Amino acid sequence: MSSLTPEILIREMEKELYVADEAIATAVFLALKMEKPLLIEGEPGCGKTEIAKVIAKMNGTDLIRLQCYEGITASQALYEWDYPRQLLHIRLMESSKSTDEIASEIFSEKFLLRRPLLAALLHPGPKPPVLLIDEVDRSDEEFEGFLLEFLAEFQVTIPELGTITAERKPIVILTSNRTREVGDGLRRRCLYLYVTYPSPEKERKILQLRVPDLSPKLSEDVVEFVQRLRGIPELTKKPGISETIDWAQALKTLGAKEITSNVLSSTLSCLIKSEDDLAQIRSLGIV
Amino acid sequence: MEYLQNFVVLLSNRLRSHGVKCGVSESIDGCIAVESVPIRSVHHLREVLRLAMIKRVDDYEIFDRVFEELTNPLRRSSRPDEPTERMPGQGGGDQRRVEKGSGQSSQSITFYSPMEVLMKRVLPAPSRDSFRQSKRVIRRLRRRLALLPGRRTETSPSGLFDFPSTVRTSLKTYGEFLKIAHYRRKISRCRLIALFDVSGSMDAYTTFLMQSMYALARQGVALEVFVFSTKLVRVSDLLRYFGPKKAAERISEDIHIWGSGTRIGSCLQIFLQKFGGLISRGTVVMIVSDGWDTGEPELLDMAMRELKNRTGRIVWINPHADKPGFKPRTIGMETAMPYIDLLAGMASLQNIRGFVRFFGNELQPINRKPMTSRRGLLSQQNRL
Repeated sequence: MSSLTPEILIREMEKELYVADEAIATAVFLALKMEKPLLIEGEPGCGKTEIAKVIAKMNGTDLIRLQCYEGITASQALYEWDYPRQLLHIRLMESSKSTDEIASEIFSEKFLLRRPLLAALLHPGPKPPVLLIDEVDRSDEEFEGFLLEFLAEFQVTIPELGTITAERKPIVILTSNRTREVGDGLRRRCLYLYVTYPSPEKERKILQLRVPDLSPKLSEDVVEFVQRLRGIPELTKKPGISETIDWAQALKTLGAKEITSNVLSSTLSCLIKSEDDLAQIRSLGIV
Repeated sequence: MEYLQNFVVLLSNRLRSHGVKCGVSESIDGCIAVESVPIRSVHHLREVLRLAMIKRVDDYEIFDRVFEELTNPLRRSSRPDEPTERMPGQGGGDQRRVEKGSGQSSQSITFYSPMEVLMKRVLPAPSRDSFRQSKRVIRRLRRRLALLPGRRTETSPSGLFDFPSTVRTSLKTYGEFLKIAHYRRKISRCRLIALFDVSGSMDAYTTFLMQSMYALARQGVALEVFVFSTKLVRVSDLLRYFGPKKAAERISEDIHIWGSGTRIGSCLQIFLQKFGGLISRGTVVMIVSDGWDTGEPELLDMAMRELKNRTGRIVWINPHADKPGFKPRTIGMETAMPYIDLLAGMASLQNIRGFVRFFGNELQPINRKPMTSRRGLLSQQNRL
């Protein structure tokens, strides 16, 4: 790990089919080196979540994912007691064991349901897991405050069991789509990376890796067309990298040799996902 | 290495003076970062420091400029008129916004303005008295707004049966259910986005709403505030950090440079493109403008249609709307009318009861079951 540099990281990530530019590689490198969480913001479909997956694969460790949503609470993220099993256990043991024994048994780790954050703390190793906290902007501010505390200490107090501290600090990646501004407190604890749509060269390279048997000519055309779409200011949802890959896959599956208007109109749904945008594109005469 | 550390310190000082939040911990991060990455070039150094020290994409631009100034002293000396060290209160933030818009950083700033008006417009700063009043308003308003349940839950003496909590408490009595726990949905907050037209024709009316917005933000209502005339600027943070008075000062300093005329359509377009992520079906968008538009009506039409599609409700506050004999005759108003859910005037908002009634009725979270409509007198009058 000590010999790692951003350049090596670029190559390693490429092995896992992820094309990282220098900014991404440096960010990941610093996050690993400084053991700080990395907050990634950017347009949808530009590979934010993918970064976490790739780091996990690269390190040969587990990816633990916490998907945030509106109304998520600490117990859904951290831990819960398995009440039904606890009850059952009590009923079974009632006759044979003393109450003290039962009490100590039912509040043991056996009956603890590990939710993602606790699972990351208790990860058996040997390498630290990657904890992906996805779309943190969807959770509300109270949950963000709770995360803040968790990310600062990497420890959790369970009243019945005591304080649990991480043996290996997990590698934490947070992503946000900016539906809400993430608070300053959380930002300050993280390294910050903003990813946006790739340059044509980078996108071609991505296609080469992800859809290897696509002809160079077609991949060139695909990239050019997608880049052109992104340049249209009226579109509400611009196609991201994942859409480009989907489209290229579709073209390959259909056996298209080149992008004709026929092919385009039948596969455009891979790129454009809203009715308004489709109409917009039609009115501009692109399709 | 020491040289780099000094550089990082200097850089963070400079960033702070330009209004970027960059504290000691960011400086430390910067130092650790430059030590752990083998730096190859100035460009690379910039990238590394930016990653470690800057925490939001909006600050990238200003970071790049400050970095450029520090590493390229030649360029700095070519513009001696720009003070490099400034106190935050003296308009450092304004300068940067101005340059952002102009799109050039190394030359003196020139602007196009439809009718160059360099007369300084002053956004009237709220008086202490009216401010106190609006605070009271908001406190009452908040109680009224908080009517509908959200997705989070809390324990309560009555309500839905809370299985986990009941079992958990029953474990104290070895599985015997002595007490049944209940939960209910916690009251959710409404999301409000306010867009203020701050072109000359609005000055007299903006005060009250500006304060109210501030008070709303202080009370924890999820709120974003934008001002626009020829361009659009997000001022939520300004308002939150500096308070309404200072924010008003800073904003009017900016407007003074923007020039006059309002392009509602293009500003809304920019809003949708840049900040589209902020809106959802549960958002109320409030536009405060008199509808005098110097831009193209088609653009406004398009923007309003999209806004209508993507938000829960559009409230348009036109200061003249409750004057007797008012008809939406300005081009902007005429274009926007079909998309507006509610048009309101300012006069009835300027007293406490009107304000509370108006917002209390209109700003319910929308994506849930609509309230059985018992609209206030005021909104009935203004519904056209």
